[in-house]
Amino acid sequence: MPARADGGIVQSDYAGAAVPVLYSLRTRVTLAQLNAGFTLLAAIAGRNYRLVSCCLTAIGGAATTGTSVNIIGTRAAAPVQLFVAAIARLTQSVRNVVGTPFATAGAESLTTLADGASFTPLDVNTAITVITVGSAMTVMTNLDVDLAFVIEG
Amino acid sequence: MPNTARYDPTENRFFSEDSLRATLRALRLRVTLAQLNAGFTLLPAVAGFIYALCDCKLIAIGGAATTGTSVNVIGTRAAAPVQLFVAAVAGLTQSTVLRAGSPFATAGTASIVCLADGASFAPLDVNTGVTVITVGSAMTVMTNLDVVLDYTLVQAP
Repeated sequence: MPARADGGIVQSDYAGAAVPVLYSLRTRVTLAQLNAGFTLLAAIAGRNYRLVSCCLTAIGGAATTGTSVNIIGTRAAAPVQLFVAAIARLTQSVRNVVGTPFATAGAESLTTLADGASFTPLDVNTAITVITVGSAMTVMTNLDVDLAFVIEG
Repeated sequence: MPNTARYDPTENRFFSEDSLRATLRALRLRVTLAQLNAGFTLLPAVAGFIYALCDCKLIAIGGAATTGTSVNVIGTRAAAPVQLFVAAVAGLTQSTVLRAGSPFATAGTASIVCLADGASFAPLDVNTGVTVITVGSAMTVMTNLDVVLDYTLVQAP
């Protein structure tokens, strides 16, 4: 399929090559959505997600009352907690970046699975969700979720 | 749905764009001290398109940033300039990788200060670019600044 120029951007739709393109999702999840569980990336028939990076920021106040915020995928037909932000990390406006320490040296911002398993391919036809763990979160009004991901399959 | 790049052997390049999806792009640029002090356009405005920054790393090259107050990455929102990322001169020691959202060596001090409530990562105005500049007196000693930006460029609705 030939590429076409659009507003100075050359674009092309082509699904036959093996080089994944990195996509960005930045979305603001409301507290109600977070406590109820929210689908960040909907399942795509015949395709699988692989997450590359994650940033979480509490908006409007600190995360309070709950235990953590978890980003959840599916592997081998079972849920996996890909990224876990303990409530103590989710102070207002602090950007928690996976792979970087929190303000307290030695404590990670976001907890990942052992041996890099947070960054390996997830099951085909499955979604990525975010949810509060423990009691319902309070005080914070929103959570900003910033994911970098590829779609494979 | 486009999700893979197509390699064109004739052009020896990949085509992977879909301007309606948020494809993540990377800019790595070495800005000279003169360009930094004068102000430099990192991402030029694209008619009908909107930038949203996803990550920022700054590295002082050739020496520590000296004399100035900070290095600011600036965008435009609601027709006014916004200081998206601010790196204080004290953090810009030679070769130190400063990253938005990570602490500096001193616990509790941000490497790069972001806007409150995630506003540094929200979409900017359509038809506007992103610049970097010294704030305060002109920087000295450092010879260059490496800027690494992850960003998206999406068509305005």
